[in-house]
Amino acid sequence: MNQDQLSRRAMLCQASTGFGMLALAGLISQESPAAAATTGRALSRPHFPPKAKNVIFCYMSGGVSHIDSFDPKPRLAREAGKPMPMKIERTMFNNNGNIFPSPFEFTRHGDSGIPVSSMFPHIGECADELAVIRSMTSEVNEHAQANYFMHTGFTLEGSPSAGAWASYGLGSENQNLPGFVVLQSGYATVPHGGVGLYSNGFLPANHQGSIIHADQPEAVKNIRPAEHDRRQRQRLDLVRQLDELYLANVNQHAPVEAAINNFETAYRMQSSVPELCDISGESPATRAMYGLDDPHPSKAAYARQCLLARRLVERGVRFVELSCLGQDASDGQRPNPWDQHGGLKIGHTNMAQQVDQPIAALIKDLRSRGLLDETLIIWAGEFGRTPFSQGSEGRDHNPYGFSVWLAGGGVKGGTIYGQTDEYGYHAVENAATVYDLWATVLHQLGISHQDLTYRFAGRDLRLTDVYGNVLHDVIA
Amino acid sequence: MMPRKLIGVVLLALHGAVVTGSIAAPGDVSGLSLEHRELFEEKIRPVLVEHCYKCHNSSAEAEAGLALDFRGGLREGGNSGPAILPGNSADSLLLAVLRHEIEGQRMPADGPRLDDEVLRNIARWIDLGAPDPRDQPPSAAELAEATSWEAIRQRRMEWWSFQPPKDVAAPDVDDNRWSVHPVDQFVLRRLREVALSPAKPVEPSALLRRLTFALTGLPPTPEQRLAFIEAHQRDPLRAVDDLVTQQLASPRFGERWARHWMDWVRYADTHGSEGDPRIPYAWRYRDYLIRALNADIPYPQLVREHLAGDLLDNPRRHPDTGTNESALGIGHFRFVQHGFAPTDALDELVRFTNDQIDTVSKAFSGLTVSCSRCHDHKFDAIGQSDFYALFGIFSSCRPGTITIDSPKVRDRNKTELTELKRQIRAGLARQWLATAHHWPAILMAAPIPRSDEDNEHDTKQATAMSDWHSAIDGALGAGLANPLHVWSKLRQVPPEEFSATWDGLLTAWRASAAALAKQHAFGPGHAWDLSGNDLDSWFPEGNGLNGHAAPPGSMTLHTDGQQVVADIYPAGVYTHLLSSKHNGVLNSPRMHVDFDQIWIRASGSNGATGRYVVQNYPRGATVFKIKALDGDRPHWYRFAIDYWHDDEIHFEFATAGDTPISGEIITRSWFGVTDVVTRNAGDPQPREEPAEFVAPLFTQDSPPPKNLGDLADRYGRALVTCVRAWQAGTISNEQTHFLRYFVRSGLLPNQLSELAFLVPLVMEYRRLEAEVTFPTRAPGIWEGDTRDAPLFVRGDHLSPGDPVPRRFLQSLGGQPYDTPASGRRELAEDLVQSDNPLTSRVIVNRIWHHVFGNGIVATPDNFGRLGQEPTHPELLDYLANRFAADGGSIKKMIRLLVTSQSFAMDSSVSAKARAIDPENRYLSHIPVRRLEAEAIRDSLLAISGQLDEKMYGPGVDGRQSRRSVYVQVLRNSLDPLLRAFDAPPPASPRGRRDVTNVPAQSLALMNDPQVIAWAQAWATLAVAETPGAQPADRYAWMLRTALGRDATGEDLRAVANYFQTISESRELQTTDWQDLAQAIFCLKEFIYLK
Repeated sequence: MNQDQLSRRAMLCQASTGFGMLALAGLISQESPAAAATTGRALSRPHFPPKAKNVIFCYMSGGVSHIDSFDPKPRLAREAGKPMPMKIERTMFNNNGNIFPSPFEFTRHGDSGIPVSSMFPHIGECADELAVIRSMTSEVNEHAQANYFMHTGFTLEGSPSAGAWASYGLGSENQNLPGFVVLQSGYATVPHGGVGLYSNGFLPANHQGSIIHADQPEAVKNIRPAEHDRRQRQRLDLVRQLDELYLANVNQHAPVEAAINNFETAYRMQSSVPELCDISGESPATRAMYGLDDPHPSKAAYARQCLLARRLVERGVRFVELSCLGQDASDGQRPNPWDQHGGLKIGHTNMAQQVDQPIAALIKDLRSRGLLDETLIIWAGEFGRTPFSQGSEGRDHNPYGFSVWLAGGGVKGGTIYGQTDEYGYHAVENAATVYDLWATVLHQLGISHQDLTYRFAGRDLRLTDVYGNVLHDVIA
Repeated sequence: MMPRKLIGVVLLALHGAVVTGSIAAPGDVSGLSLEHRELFEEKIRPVLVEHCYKCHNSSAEAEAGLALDFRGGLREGGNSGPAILPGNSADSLLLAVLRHEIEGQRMPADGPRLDDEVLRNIARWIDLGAPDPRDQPPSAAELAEATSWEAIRQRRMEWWSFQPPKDVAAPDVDDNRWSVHPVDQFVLRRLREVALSPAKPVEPSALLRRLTFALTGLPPTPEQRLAFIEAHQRDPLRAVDDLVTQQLASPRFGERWARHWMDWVRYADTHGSEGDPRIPYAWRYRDYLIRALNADIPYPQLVREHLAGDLLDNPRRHPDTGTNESALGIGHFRFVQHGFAPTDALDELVRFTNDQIDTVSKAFSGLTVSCSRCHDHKFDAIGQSDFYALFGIFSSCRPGTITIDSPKVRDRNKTELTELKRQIRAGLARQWLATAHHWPAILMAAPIPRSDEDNEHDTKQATAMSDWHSAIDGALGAGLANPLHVWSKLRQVPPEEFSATWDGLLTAWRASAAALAKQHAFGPGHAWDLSGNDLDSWFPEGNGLNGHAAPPGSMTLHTDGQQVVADIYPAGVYTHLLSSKHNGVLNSPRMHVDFDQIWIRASGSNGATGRYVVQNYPRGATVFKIKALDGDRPHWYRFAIDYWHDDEIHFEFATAGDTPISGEIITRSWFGVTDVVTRNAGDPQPREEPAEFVAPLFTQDSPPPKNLGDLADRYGRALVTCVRAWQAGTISNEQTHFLRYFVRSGLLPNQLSELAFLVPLVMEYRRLEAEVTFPTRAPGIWEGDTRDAPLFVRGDHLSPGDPVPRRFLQSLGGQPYDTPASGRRELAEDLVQSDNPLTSRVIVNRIWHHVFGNGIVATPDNFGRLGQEPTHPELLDYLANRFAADGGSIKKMIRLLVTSQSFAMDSSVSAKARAIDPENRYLSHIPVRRLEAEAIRDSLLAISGQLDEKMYGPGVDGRQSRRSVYVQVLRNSLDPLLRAFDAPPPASPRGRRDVTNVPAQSLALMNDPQVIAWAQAWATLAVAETPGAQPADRYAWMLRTALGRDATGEDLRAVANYFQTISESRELQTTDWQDLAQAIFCLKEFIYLK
């Protein structure tokens, strides 16, 4: 038996807070043989002192153009319309045009002077909080697989999402909310690849991402009782009475007891989730800062996600992922709204307008509440876009070099790490991988990415496969 | 298989080599007692060699400055000091590291902790002073040999699961009062060894519930319960036996066990990724499993069918339809995930072939062969070459939609239709020749339009010869390719210009003929003339293709309407010469892309397609172009392929619904193809030449025409020649084109009204054609051109190494397959051969797992070093042998297990068992277990009277009332209720499911509108089933129905109190009963089994 894996029974004996505490976090394989046994948190304590407690993952589905946002390439303007002077890798659409300069202006921001394009004026104001990684790479050129790669470190469905790994490693600090939450609002939907992107994969199911519809009356599936609380409570009391008779009959079998208590957790979630989503107590200043009442409906809807993200980390939820809305995109579709194969300028302008102010507000709000230092924000899409055009005014996918950024959570603000070539095509300095990104995130959470493993199908598997280096240059 | 003796020899030789090399003289070992030497050689050296030498040696690599390959190195230690303190194991660093007691220093690297027994041996050895004969480091060569893969593999083959099952008899434990059942004898012996006793028998109602869920996945009905309890009182063994007989005979049995099997092969209805496309007809594989399990088809036969069911000489056939049942077994090869439009298609091929290897090796052998894609297996006797041996087999096959009809259905009326066509053709030729003498006169009679007004007038006058006239009029602007162009042109010129104009047309024709000849002669590049022998290297599938090209002049007939002949074709491959209900897929050999374009000359209709297939990738997408083949006449299509330079492709033609990923389309559709050529940019592009269509007019052996009369005769002669050649079966392509024009334009008699004598033949043809059925399709793979796959160095598909022969795993005796086919048949035989130590063990363990809740090997998919070892190894061997002796009958094995007293034990755990055996490895009781997701959903349906027992067919939405085995498995949107209760995502084989406890489960049972609807249905049913009953009787009935036992007084009091509280002394209403129904659905007892 693997020594890392505490038997469930041992876990139950150690837990002084009883089953209520475990209902969400623990309660796993019953009668488990060693290989499947596990507990709510794999690590009894972090591998080293954590810098961050929580993660907020702003996922820019569809692939933001790095050369139009965080990686200015003046040479593109000088050589506009000329053929690319290098070999062009296979593209998704094979409709490759010539060099296509950015239609956006870049301005240096803050003390650090990080250049940010006119797409993101509000995020630009937070430049000194950002560590921009300009040399990110991916292994795949297509949305679904790249989404899987960015979320799980593998290009196909079946592996746990980073949020599930974080929840598995550290457990949840809130007994009434899941450890890994995915927010949606308005026209946001799951990116290509489906809900498997938020899967627990081979990890126990309590680590799977739970989708919360930030602006829906039924924010979580089946969270709304169909009857009055009193009636439901009475029925649950009956259930509990009968269950306890059964429990006595099966010699207090621990998994049965856990399942009984699970109902209480579910019952409490029915009120804790609405309470979470009820933002009526937020001040007008906060609402204005996030853009909650913005006339632009998708911006208002994304703002709601950002605000809920703050409320979730305040409540100890380990990992929160945000979802972009698709309605503004000119060429992208709902699952991949940043995907401007045509109409890049208008599409990226609209998408940036949706997320810019709310994300900047999230950074500022967390900072002002003293939460930013313990909350790591990741901003990333699944790949960047080509410096040459697709058709006349779009860009194809570019996994060979693109930009992501981190903020808060012990990140060295005002940093630029790595670079692409003069055209923004390939990463040429400090090329970073998705494994590096997650190794760094886990590191900030106090986890050694090589040591957070789970045995499945004959291997000790991890988020970073057999790769990954912590990017020490971007952390303080 | 390598004989065991030989392995021993190899091991001895290996040890001998190292021993000789490291021991300089006998004197050096004189200090070692025989006992110490044996300890070292048997227990210590093999561990050091296997786990340490590679990184800690004195010739190549000494990680942390530590060499462990000789005594000096071990004692001196490395950067952290001495590795051992002889005589003091407690303070020896080596042992602390091996025990994983030091954070960051856990050895072996990347591996699990060594077994406790190994660690105990090392401790004992150190405490004995670490006697070590290795006074010199081995030479580099010796080290290399000792650490070579072959040496490691030989040592790893000692692992228990690679040994043949022992021929064990059931023990005869003296205490036969409990049971004489062989399973119980094994269990009892094991319990005795640890001084435990079996739990008492469980009460009959719980046993019944256990039995029906194990066998059919459904709760017992109240009638079953009454009957069983009564029978059990009379004769417990007989009662169980009778119930098992009845349950095994129920169609519900196959549904239950098929769902288990579907976990083993990660069944899915879609491929996942962007778009989540359907795997057409995946459900036919599920239905196949249900039928096979219900019919108790021997397991070895099912394994054969899973590997090569499509290739068996005597396949099993569906009892009603006669379709090839065995061929359905290969459906699992298609349950892979496919990315969307991968720009690296080889990477995609490696991924999905890896998935196939993973599934086959885990499902049938309990081995993780896919772990050796990048390097030799880290823990098991599986080499990297083993992975590529299987890779060659599977990647030699192509994802496909196969046709499974019986020969009788497939060939229905083909002989008759062929013969009728021959007769119709003869009749047509006769009739056409009979009218031949009119043709020059018809031509001459056609009025020459002089003005629009005249034209209009002429048209009004035209009657019988209108077809000819309008054809001639239309030919003028149509160019030389139109056979009547010459006539329409020459009849307008003044007589003095006649000859010059003829000469001009002749010159143009000659130029075109020369261009055509040049085109035909053009090289290089792949070029296939599919009208000839080139077809032999292609792969035809479907009942419309027979592997032969059709000769020029082959015709198709209309199946309705006034016209007889539908078309006449040049030589080529056609799917519809007898019926357009027939289907066809034509795959080319593999091509290495060193060209820029592929050109095909093809025709087709109604969804027929042509596409290039890169590295067997089955989907169409932006850079995987699929073109619809549309148009009666063959014409050229161009596929730009420069994007895929240096990749491997093949070309595929298919009728609608026959590509590997298309809808489940059933329609008339056909294609025809004559040429496939490749070209580079800058090469002349293939194109039609007028010369191909009018040759019979110009190639006559007669003087040039001087006037229209000559020319009319010439036309007459050309047509007669063509018809005669057609009649004789000697027609050429050019004559076919010429003749086709006159037939298709209605210029030769082609109406039933003109061909009265043919009406009976045509009508008979149409009647027989109507009897032809559309093909029955299923997911599968097609054999293609086979090839040994190169080993990818470090798993990098861009670094191909030497080819590895296709074969089974070396450690299981794999020898290269000497076959031009993929090798799937041979692989199937290797899996089921009697000396394969894994196949029977793996399946009986899977059966045990599903019956008892835990396998004898707790990791049913992994019998390797990282799996668990069997708790009852001899019992496992006994069952494996017995299973094989019983011909691989799954039902017999299940019957054996569920009729044991072990299965009938209670769930109570004695205090002693709780202390000694908390994991119940010795099976002193049957643990309480939660039902699987499907059984929970099916119970909700069954109890509420909603269960729709319809079997088979396409998957349904989970909101419907069919059993869960029929709920579709859409990778991107799995059924939320089933998923909540741990139905696994179909990513890899799952012999053992998780059992988790998450709020989504409670929330679903509390608030899911579907669950509430079922509760409502049940409440209505309860009221209807207990008319006029007292409330207490009614809720007693409900509890009994749901829980399979009589309610206790406490149960009833609790419900009574509840009703009192909610009704507050008013009459109970239907909604109250619905509330109770929902409460019962939420009971743990409802979803747990004692």
